[in-house]
Amino acid sequence: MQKRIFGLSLAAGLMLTAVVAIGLANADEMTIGVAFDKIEPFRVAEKKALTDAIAGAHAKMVFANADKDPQRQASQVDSLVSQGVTAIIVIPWDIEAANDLARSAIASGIPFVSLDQAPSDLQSVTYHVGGDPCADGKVAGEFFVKEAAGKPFKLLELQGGLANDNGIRRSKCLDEALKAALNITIVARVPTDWNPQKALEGTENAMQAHPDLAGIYAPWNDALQGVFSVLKEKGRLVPVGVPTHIVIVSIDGTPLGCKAVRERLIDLEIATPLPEMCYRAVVAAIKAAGGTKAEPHAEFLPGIPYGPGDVKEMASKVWGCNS
Amino acid sequence: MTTRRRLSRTGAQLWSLTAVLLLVGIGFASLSDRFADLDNLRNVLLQAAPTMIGATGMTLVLAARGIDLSIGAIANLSLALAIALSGTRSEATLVTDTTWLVYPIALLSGLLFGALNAAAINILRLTPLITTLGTLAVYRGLGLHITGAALIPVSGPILSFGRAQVFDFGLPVFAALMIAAMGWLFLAQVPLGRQLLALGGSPRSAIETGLRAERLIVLAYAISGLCGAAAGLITVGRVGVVNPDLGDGMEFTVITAVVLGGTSLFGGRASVLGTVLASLLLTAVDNGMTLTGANPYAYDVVRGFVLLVAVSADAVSTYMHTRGSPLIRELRA
Amino acid sequence: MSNQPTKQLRAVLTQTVRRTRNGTALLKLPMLPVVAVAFVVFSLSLDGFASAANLGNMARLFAPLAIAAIGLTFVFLLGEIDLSIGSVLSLASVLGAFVMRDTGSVWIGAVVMVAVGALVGAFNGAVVAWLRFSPFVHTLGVLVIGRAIAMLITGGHSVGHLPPAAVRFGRGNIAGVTTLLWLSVAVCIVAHVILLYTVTGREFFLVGANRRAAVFAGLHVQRTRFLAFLISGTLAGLAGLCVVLRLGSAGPTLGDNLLLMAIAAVVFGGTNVFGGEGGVFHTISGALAVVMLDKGLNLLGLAFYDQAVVMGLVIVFGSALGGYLYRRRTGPG
Repeated sequence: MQKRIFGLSLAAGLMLTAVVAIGLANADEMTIGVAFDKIEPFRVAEKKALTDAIAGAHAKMVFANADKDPQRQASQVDSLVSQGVTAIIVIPWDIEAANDLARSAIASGIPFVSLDQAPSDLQSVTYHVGGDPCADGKVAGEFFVKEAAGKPFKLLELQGGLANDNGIRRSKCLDEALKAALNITIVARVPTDWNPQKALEGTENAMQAHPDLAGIYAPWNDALQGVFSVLKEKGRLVPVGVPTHIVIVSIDGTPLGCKAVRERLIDLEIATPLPEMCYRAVVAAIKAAGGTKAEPHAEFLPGIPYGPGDVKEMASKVWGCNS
Repeated sequence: MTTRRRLSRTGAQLWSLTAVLLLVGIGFASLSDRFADLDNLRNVLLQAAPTMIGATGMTLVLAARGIDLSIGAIANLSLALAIALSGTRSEATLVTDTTWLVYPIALLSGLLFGALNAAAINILRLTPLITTLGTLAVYRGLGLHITGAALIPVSGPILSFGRAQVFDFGLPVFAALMIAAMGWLFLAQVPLGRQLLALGGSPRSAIETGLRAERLIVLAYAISGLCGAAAGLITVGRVGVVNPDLGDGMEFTVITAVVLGGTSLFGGRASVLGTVLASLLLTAVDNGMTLTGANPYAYDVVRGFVLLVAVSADAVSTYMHTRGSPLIRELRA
Repeated sequence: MSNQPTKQLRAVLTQTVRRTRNGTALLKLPMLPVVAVAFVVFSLSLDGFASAANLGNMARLFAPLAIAAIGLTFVFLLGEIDLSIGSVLSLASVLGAFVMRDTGSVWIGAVVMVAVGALVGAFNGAVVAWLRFSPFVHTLGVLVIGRAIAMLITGGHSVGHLPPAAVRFGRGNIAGVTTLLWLSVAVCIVAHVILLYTVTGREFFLVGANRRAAVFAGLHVQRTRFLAFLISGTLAGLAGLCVVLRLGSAGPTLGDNLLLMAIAAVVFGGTNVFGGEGGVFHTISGALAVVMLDKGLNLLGLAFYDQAVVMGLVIVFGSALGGYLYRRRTGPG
């Protein structure tokens, strides 16, 4: 019995050694450190786009994922700095802590590019490129105002992340755009933590309270599956144009989002220009490492709105429609 | 602590829990006229089903003085495995089509991973907490490795269980109630169940009287894993996707429900009925918040407040129960 | 009747204290072999793992984890649990950071953070010890509410723009060693002395080893329980200070990962979840193991889910190895 335990533990030790052995190889070529805040479907797509862009620049990528922990992210960025990478591209998890991280990296002579999620102080980073969560929320809000056309309109707002800057802005700017339209009532704001299951339950509960629900704001594509499941069960999953259709606006532009538009299930989708964003981040990082200042210093690429009406013309510009 | 006293304490806890559930119900019903509605009862039951199933399995584990932190990770891994083995992905529609095989694969792997937990506890002589903390990481890691942390829409038979309707109620509701009833019967009437409680109440004397502790532990964890997989099947069936955060935090909700229901974390005392009521309470709170259009930041305030009210109701009922005997109170706390 | 338990208590006490005071006791820490092996393996295979920069980096991760885990050790020694530490860290950090930002004084902010931690800890302790609330459900309620309050007052945003002195302190060194590490060493020594060399401290072992006997022997059972939660809350606040100084920011989700990491550190270190066994140095070795594995696996550049798998396997088999060695050296019991 005890021998067996010892053997097993020894095996564990050996396994660790083996894992370590296949670990790192050293290289003198250009290395870009990439530090993500978390991994989820959208981030997987971003990672792929970055990998492609970095490979295209004949550089090597070192990847780290903080898994929603600001301390781990700080530690990872510090590690990248002490490893002496050429430049660092970060999706910040804590937008305040990112400022000091950026300053200390830049002080060590390593360019710090923030991607997707802007730090609270843009001056602290070498360059920032991201979507514009507020503009996207506003576009969505204006669309609902147009759709409601002055008539009473009950809207369900699914809220992405309560403590996530992108999530907060996508909701806040929607609310601002709707403020003037007194005919639109937001009947529920449901916190989902970006989880499709929570989106499902929120939609189910809201439709229970308000069978005459007219619109749903699903500010990230993964929520759509949960929303569709409920609508299907209630017999309300009908294409745009049918009278019982519920107006749905989503953000992201993933393949699933594009598919939903092509199937005429959602009215408007605001696609984040993901490959463009990642490409610009890599270019700016490499340029800054070579001493060229990025101009402009920060870019907010507004989402590309498209719907069932113009998906054919817009498809070439939306990454999710092409992959 | 005689058996009678043990049972009656659980009884007092059930009453206080029922009172809190009623209070929450009345509160929400006065705020939204759609809360106390048959349709909404259907919703609450349906949404509570995965928690109820997971919590029933967890009740058995806690009864045996164990804990299973890996239950959510098992849900994730079993489903990932099931769709990887029995699904075919279509590049055109991005949807993974499944066959009926997902059910046996998911349930069997849930059973297996649960049994693996028990094996680690038995063979490596580890505490359940550290074992399942470790396997939580292993199972979640493997699950995400299989799916590549991607969101996978699914179609076909996998959706049937979660979406089927029986007498106007969702099939998962009946499944959950049936599993809970089986759990109750098992603990109250089946010799093995009573042995599980005895083992949890006092492991040493249980082993000295000849109980096969290792077998009982395998049984409890295997059932817990099976319940985790079943809960995962319902969730995936209803939402229609296998998403990377499937099962994340499930262990927390489930353990909360079990402990709130009056099952002791230190074994020996278990109440499946309490588990069911507590699962309903937790779900009803979330449901009521959406129905009344609450501020999203207020959800957690209310959730926490309900927990504190429930625990104080329990403390009061325990106090009443042990009135006049400070020594017993001292020993109980 | 009361003689028997008292004897038992004395036996437990002398055994534990002798074991831990004994100079060779350090070598008997169950996790030390794993820490040593991991360090050697990582140093040999990873360039710069043993470099000053990386050691400083790990020290900054280690300090808050160790401090919070030491607090949790006191609670675990009694066989209790405090689930609220992560959210106490978040709440304390947010409130303290507001003060720090508005007064421009790091010190006042630091005092506020520790005070908030102590306050919540005292509340938990009082409610658990004297109102007899179930510690699990009560601290779970506080976990949910504390985080919710932090969310509400910040609107979900993190709190930055702290005085520059904060980060200078948090990333700085004293005598070539990370300042935060000095802080954790100080906490460790104080906690160790309290636990083994004061009467109040030794009561933790006695109450944890056998609550019933401790009651009959007339020990301050409830006072000890109160103190455990007070210490745990206070140290969670102090851990929050470490994190804030290191990041230059506080936020409502700052402590989300702390609870599981701290539980892992304490249990990894060999402190018994059912009470009565363990100590500060146990926890330190556990925290070392957690940080080193986390960082080492990270630096290897494995996909994060593969890291989780390896980490989980090491938790399971590492604890098994540690437990095996421990049992072999100390004999059965």
